[in-house]
Amino acid sequence: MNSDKSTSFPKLSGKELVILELLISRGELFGLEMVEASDGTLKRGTIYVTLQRMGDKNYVESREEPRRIPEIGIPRRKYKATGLGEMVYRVNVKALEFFNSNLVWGESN
Amino acid sequence: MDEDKLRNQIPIFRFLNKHKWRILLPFLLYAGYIYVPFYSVNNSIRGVSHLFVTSTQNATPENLNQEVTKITEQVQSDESILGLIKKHGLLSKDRRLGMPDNELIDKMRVSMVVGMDVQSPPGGASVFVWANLPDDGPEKTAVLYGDIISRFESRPDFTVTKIANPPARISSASLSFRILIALFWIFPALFSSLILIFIWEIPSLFYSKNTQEMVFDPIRSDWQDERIEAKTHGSTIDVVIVNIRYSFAFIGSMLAKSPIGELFEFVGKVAR
Repeated sequence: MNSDKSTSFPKLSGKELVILELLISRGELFGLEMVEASDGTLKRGTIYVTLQRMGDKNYVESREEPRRIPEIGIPRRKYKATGLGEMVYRVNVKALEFFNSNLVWGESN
Repeated sequence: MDEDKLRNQIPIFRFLNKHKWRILLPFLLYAGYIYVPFYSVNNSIRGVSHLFVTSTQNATPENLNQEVTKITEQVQSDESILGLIKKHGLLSKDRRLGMPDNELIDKMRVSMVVGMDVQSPPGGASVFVWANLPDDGPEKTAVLYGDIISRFESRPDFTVTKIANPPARISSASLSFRILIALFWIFPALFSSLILIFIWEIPSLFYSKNTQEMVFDPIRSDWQDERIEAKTHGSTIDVVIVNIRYSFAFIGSMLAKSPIGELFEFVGKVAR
């Protein structure tokens, strides 16, 4: 069990990292808001697939936002980071910082 | 509104209402495609000028034909065509773009025909002048006809009769052509509608309910929002761009959730 924990470090992909960063810094967001806020990193065609996979891993959770009265159509879905997602994000950021600082140190020596 | 709801409870109406644009779009596209050649056919028919030329000097039909042929050949010579282009300011768009003279002549030769009609009645020569110059407009085309016709009229040994109405056989041919095409394009349009409906329904046919709710419904929802936004605050081009962008997004998501997409994701995960 312990060895299991040590080998299953939850690495995030670039897109997952951007999504969690946006959700943690801005709170609950719609998919389209994340696409617009990501400056081209997230695409309309792949964001929901990534979000679904992140939902399966319990990094994000979503709820349907009903449309206001004059609006009609399919309800929109709002996403927020879970506690696990936030923790995984922070671990990945720390790991990246550690890796980058060591890389700089390694290069300078 | 209640009537709409009631209507939507009947499956066939619900289906038609849901897919109305996927059914109509191919029909509109095919109609637009067919409209273009019809327009040019109509334009050409209106543009044709027919002359009936007889000789005042009892020339034989062979001699008369030879004389008329000479004029038609002279009209279509390089010098004459270039003279007509410059005199009447034809092909203005191409000249503005700096098209050289030899290319202007070639283009004009394709856009204008002066010839002998094969249906030539006995005792005279039938001549037709045809021009299709959509960039220059009907006024300039009319002036061009006048100029060419005057070359026949200026001959003292010719009597020129203008035939106002184009021959019936051209009109009837175009009418039957129209009916034929109209019958033909219904089938490809219907087929295209079915393909579009099939693509739209792929998610509900091949993907789980969870994937439909988590992936395809949000895309449809965003698509609707951006399309309404473009319709309200943008132009038709913006609506088209939104539709193209989301068509790709929709197909991209279908691929990403297909076994191939899952394989790529797995390989990517292993590589990380």
